Amino acid sequence: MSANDFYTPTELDALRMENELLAFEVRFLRTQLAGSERSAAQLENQLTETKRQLADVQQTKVRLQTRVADLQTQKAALRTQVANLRTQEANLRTQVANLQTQEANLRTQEANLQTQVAELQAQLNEVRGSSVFRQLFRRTK
Amino acid sequence: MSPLFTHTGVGNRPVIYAGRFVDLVARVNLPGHYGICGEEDVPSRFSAAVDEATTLIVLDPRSFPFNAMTEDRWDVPLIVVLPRGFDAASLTAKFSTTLFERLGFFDRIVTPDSDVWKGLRQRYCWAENQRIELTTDDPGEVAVNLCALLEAESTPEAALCDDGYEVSRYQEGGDFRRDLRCIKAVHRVQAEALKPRFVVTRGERTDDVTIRVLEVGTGAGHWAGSFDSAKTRFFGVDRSEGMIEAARSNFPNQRFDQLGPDLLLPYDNGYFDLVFGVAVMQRNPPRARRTLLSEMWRVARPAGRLLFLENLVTVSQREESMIPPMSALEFVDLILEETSGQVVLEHVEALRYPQDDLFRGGVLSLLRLGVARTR
Repeated sequence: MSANDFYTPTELDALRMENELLAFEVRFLRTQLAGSERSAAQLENQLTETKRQLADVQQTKVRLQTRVADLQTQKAALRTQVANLRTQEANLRTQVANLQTQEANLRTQEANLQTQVAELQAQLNEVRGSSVFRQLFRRTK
Repeated sequence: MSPLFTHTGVGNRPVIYAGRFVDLVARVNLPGHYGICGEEDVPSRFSAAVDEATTLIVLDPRSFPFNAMTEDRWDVPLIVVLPRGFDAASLTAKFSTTLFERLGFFDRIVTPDSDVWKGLRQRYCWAENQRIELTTDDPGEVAVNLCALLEAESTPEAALCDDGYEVSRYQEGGDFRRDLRCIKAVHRVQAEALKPRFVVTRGERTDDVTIRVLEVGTGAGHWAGSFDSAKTRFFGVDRSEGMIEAARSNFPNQRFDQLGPDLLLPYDNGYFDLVFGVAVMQRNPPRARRTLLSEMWRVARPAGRLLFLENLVTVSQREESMIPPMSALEFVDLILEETSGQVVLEHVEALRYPQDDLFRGGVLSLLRLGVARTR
């Protein structure tokens, strides 16, 4: 900076204000610089912490991969079980259907038999009501 | 054409760069104090003429010796006559970095072509009143017309505004006589300090997000030209009705409101991303400073910015003045009082103005504390 870049103020107020302005700027810049240094230390800590977290994450990743492999094996076994159960379910459904058919047949037979019983009862009542039966019944009595 | 805001100052020494048209211009009758340079002038003569010029009229940009223009020489207010027969794209391709990006609020552009003007104005954020329309394309007649225009604006006050308001933003007293070349130089230094702050305001927001900016004490609105209107909604307030009219005329796409005597800003709380003022506090008495500061803080959004550029070093007050000078520490104390300390000092910068021993600018940028609402 050349000598011409400086000036000599004659105003005391101006000189005071200039000093204040420059002192304030310097104070701000120093604070900012201290802040930068603090930031650097904070960044260092942050980096260490981030590295530790990264290591944790990698370990977790390995654990998860093992777990995934186990789960896949279990998944295959479960799929086989599911297939077996489905086959059993189909068989049971067929059996249920057969039993239902048999039940229906039995119900039909029952209905037929009830009809026959009713017819026979009617015939019996008819016979009991006839004069021959009454005469026979008196003699016997 | 109104209002005019350039160019001639005290100790009027305009220079015409006539380039290839020097013979045509030499034939016309111009005032004796006008200097004329031609294409054939040796660089030292051209440089010496520009160093002394209060205004430089560039009649022939196509032959203009741009490499002779040092940073200081660009401080001379320019009147550039655009060559005819070219559209805005062609002119941009030819003159964008060498000339157009250098032109600001205190320069003027002569073109009769409205499409050319519209294209260039939009691209370079020029003010509407920077344009001069002349019907003739004869270089001699253009020179005569421009000289007549400059003679009509024989003082900075006349050039800027009738009441000298805009000039008073720069002239704070003392024996240092500022002509418009000095005003342009001061503005350059201020712009160099403020534009990075303006950029910071946008931050990482994408271009499709419009930010809201308020200038308090906007004058003729010339800082609006620092913001791309496609990405920024610029608001300006001022006490002077005449300046608000001038600002509206300069930047019709932006909003300018007159401030009432109570100095209360007519906007909602937390409305702006940036609220700034240039040489505003220094021109107001302490009570008004407090009101303005409080209001500026109120309308800045949480995590938004307050930006001040004030002359924090100045000569002692004139006896009749009711406005005491303000030092940096006093100003910071005032800010802390009026905002209840709800701000963080983000940037401080002392400015030295060219050829000025008596004034120093101070830039203070503050963040308003709080959690930003997402828009």
